[in-house]
Order: sequence, then C-alpha cells, then structure tokens
Amino acid sequence: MEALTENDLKRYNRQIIMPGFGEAGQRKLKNSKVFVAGAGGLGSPVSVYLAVAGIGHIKMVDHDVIELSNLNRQILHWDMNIGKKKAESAHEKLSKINPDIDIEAIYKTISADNVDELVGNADVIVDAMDNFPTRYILNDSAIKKKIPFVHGAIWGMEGRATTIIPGKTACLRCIFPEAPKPEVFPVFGAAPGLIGCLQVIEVIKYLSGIGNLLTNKLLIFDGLTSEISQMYLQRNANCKYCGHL
Amino acid sequence: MKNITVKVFGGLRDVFGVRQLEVGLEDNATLRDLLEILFQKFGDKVRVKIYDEETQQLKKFFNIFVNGHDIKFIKNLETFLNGGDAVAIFPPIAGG
Repeated sequence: MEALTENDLKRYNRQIIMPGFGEAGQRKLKNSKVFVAGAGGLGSPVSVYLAVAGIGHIKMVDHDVIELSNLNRQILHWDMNIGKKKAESAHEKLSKINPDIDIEAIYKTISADNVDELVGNADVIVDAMDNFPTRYILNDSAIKKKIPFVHGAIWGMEGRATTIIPGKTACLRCIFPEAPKPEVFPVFGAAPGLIGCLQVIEVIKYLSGIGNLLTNKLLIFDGLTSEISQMYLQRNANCKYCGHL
Repeated sequence: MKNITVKVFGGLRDVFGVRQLEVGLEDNATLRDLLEILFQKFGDKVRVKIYDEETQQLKKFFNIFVNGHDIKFIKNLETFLNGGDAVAIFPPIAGG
C-alpha cells in the first residue's frame, strides 16, 4: 500500500483529523480506484469531491460533447468548453483541482460488451448516468464482479440514492425491475450537486470503513418540501441478476 | 372509516396536481381500493400513468411504499392499510 507523503498529510489534514478516519483512512482512499460512469450533472460533483478527498485513482467514462444546455448543472464544464468532449474537459479540470491523484477520463459509450473491461478492478462504481439501460449494465457488472455500486438519480429538485452491495443488498433490478421510457428531465443543478455529494460520502465511508452505509434504504430528497426520507429496500430472492448470490 | 396520507413524487405531482393529500377509506380497504379512489378523484389520467393498460396492475417501474416499506414485499396492491398509514407513490427518475 502506497504511503502518505508530507504533502498528503497537509492537503488532507482537515479530513485526517476526523475521529475514526485518520491517516489510515486517508491511506485507504489514496490506494483506491473509483469508477465514475458519466461526467454530467452527477458526474461533475461526484468527480470533484472524490478528487479533492484524495481518491488515488479515478476513472471516468462519458460519451457526450458539451452543450450550452448542460451548463446549468454540469459544473465541470464551462462556456469555453462547449463542443468539447466531456471526458477531456473533466480530465483537464480534475487534474488541476488535485494534481496529486491519477485521473483517467475515457470518451466512450458504456455498453454490455465493454463494461467489464472499463470497470476493471475498481473498488467502487459510482452511478452518474442519466438513463436506466446503462444503469442496468453497470448494475450487472457490479454484481458479476461483486463491486459496490452507489446509485444516484435526480428529477427537478428531487433526488434519490442508495448503496448496493452485491449479494448483501437489493440490487438496482430488485428495486426497479423495469426501465421507464427515456425522457428529457427537468433539473436544477443543486439537485445533482446534493445527490452527487451524498454518493461521494458513501464511497468514502465504504473505502475507509467509517460510519454506516446507505444500504437497503433508498434515500429520497424532496427539494420542493425540503424533506428527506428513507424507504426500506429488500432483496428480491427471485431476482434473475443477483438472486444467486 | 380510516384516514390515509398519500404522498406523490416526481412528474406524478403534475398529474395529481397536489403533493400530498388525506384520503378516507372503508375499514377493510386495501391499497388497490385507495388507488381506485384516487382514479375517481383525479381522473383516468392517473390510472393510465400508473397502471399497465393490459394487466391493470401497477407498472413495474412504479414504486409504492407503505410506511416506508415496498409493497412488492408486502402484498402488492392487496396490502391492507391501517388508519394513519402513509402511502408514498414514486415514479422512476432517471436523471443524472
């Protein structure tokens, strides 16, 4: 395991002093690989906060090009980047936000054929997608590889999140057995900002072993009423995808 | 009679026109009875939105929780409701 440098101890001091986390927790983050699927509304806050927390290796995959209509929420991308690949823009910004970590950003469409290779030996997969078909592909790869999968989704000022531990918790297909039709969804940037940050907290807790994970619970954030609630989830024993674990 | 609180989320709020409401039900009523009352109150647009046209069952991508518990793991639409129960109806959200 790679040790912390003097620079690390200074850069991450304010989280190292967190009771229960310490240098051991920081070392775990430094030696972890996190796969972020998507560099959009969720992918932006997710990757920024993973980067500043000192996750040693961040791999992002995205197949889009930046458009003006993305900029109300995708804070990694700026006006000057319109027309650029989100993967390239993300790499450029994240490398400057934290030059001490390894960032790989790939311009590619995640498919059932390439997902296992793209995910590789990641310690955690973060769902920053905007559609269910790709989420299912990621869910299935997470189950196959037994890698935790942190789900997030938003609509308007609403957001949802849960942490899936293959074989131990409900998988995405247990919770949502069928995908809705794709839609152009309303969104205020602060909603993916909030849910993306929750996802990063889940990643940090999982990797460092502190706190309790958001497992078998679906957190619902309702911005219009400022209510946060949790719904209890259960594994579907007959789930065709995770029932065998 | 028993009173049930219903909360709706996401795009479903537009269809209902409200975020939350109280519904009075007969003592032996189930979730299916509650939904029928909602269909009567808010029109067939709600039925079309959440029921599968052919089977007249809940569309598989809708989630309903009673007091925070997924009805898939209780008795689905036949789940018995008690006075004071909170029913949350969630359409799927895919944004990211």
